[in-house]
Amino acid sequence: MAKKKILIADDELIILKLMKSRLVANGYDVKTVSNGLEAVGEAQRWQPDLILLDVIMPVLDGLEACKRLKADPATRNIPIVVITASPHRGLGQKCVEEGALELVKKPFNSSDLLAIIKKTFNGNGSSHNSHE
Amino acid sequence: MNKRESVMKKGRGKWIKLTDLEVKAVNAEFEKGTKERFAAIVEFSNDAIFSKTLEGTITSWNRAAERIYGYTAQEIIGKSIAALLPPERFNEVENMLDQLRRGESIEHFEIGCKRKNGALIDVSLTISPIKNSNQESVGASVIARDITERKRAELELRKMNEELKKLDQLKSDFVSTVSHELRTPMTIIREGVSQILDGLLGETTEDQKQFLTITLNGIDRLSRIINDLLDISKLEAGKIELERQPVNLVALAQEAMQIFNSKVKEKGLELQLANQSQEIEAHVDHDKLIQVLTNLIDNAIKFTEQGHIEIGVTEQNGTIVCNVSDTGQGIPEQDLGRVFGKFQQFGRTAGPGEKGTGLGLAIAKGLVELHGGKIGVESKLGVGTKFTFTIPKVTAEELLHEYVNAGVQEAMRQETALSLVVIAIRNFEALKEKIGVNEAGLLLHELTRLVKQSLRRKSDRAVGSRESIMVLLPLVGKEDALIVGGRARQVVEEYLIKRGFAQLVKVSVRVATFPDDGRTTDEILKRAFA
Repeated sequence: MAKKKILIADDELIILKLMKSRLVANGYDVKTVSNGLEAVGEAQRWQPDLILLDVIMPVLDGLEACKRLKADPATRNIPIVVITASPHRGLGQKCVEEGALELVKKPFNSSDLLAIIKKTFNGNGSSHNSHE
Repeated sequence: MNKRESVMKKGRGKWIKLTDLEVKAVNAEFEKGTKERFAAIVEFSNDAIFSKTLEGTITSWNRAAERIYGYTAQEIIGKSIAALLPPERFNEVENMLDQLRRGESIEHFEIGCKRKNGALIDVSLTISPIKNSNQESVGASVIARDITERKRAELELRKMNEELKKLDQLKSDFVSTVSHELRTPMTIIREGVSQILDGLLGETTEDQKQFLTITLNGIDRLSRIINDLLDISKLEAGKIELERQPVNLVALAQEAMQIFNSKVKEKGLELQLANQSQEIEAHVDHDKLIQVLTNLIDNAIKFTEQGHIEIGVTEQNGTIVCNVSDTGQGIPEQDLGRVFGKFQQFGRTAGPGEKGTGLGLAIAKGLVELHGGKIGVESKLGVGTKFTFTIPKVTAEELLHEYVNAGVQEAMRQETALSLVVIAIRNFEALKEKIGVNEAGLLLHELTRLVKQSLRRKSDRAVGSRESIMVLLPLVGKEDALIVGGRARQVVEEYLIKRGFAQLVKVSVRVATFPDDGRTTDEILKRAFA
């Protein structure tokens, strides 16, 4: 079975590095980007199976990225998990209203995050019609 | 000296009758005295007192009027009252004159006036019509009180109030920002440490593992403190809004208890639910009440070394009563008053590594009060502690009224629309007869859940009651509301078909929109349920 592809968007490079190493260790194929605009572009090109999206990012924030990803037929069906350090539950919540599947709060427990990722693949894997 | 018609006067120790001439002289003297006294009162009054004709020509002017308006009597008598007013207030004067012509008086009318030197002053006017012997209005007397100073003080107070609000906002923003800024480095530390602990970077010794675990626990505690701080700050700023929904409180208690299963086992305690009924429903915020209960249970476990912790939920006269009691060490009487305060960790000593945030009970209190309830504590040293909180049971109708009311206020403030969609199940009575009241209730519950699920926005609320499901859509106009209504109807009908009830009942949808169908809560509700 091919490795599942996960795209992570976060403006903190160390967080990207840590998350990548954790996910790679758990058998995922991982790419990282550091703002919402790059996330949208990379999602269109690479067609990941899941996007982990930070909310507060420069250039294009998570909410706006979420809207664009859901508006584009090429990326509409890629599940999004929002990871937020923002205490304004509102912003993360709005992402969920825009179609994100889950909201994970920082600092997260990596075993919880891995469980959510697994659940996403088990529950929604079939509905994702990527262009492969 | 009194006015008299025909009177006696005392002369040489005897009362003798006055002549007509004498009576006249006495009366003239009296009237002169009265007039003088009145004139003195008017003249030395602290308020400006003047009179004017119906057309607005000033006919008298006292000393205070000279002081307040800066015109001498000589300068102003014979002039129009318009001289005292800034041009933009002329309209109001016309209205006032009309009122006076009708013989009505005007009391404490606050208006900005113009002094002779052009300076603006605030006055409060009391104007009464002057009538002739035929009871016709011929003019008016005006008492003008200078309230410039009072107005200035009011303005200052308002400014101060706004400053304070701004400061409060700054404080809230500060807490939010700080907690956000703290979460990022905490994520890094937590994930870094946990990767070493999980062996992603190579083998670790048992000692290293132990220290890394302690570090992780410390980080988790720090994270809890930040969450609690944020909660308490939001509670204090009145920024937490309840998401009320029908909740079975017995199930909610069980849900809260499950979180502590392993912790209770570890400590060799028993955590039990002392409940007769299996279902007690109320409209509460599910997550917030879970937080209240977990804070109370967590607290109980922390201070109980042996025995049990018992949760009870009952309903008494429309009020939910919930308690959490333990067989722990108890709280000394002198400390009982302070347990709900912030950062009050005292008296009781908890085991190592179990120190809380000192905010749990304060948050529980805040959340209970947000539900309109009360929380209290009883304790006996060495015997145990019992926390009890009550929450008024809000009915679906009350809840809907509250939602619509809040929605209308908000829509009015922002000048936007608001729609209420009512999906009514006609002939619901027949369904109740067929499947029983309980089963019908569950069906409505399920339908409400399905409708809620079909709503995309979190701000949209759905409430189920009796035989209808009500959906409130903020910012949504009539056309879009009809679409939502249609979608909801489809969801309801599909489910009814699936359950085989489609023949028995019919579904109807009504939409009432603010401001199209009404501008008040009652108008909207009436329209939606007509």
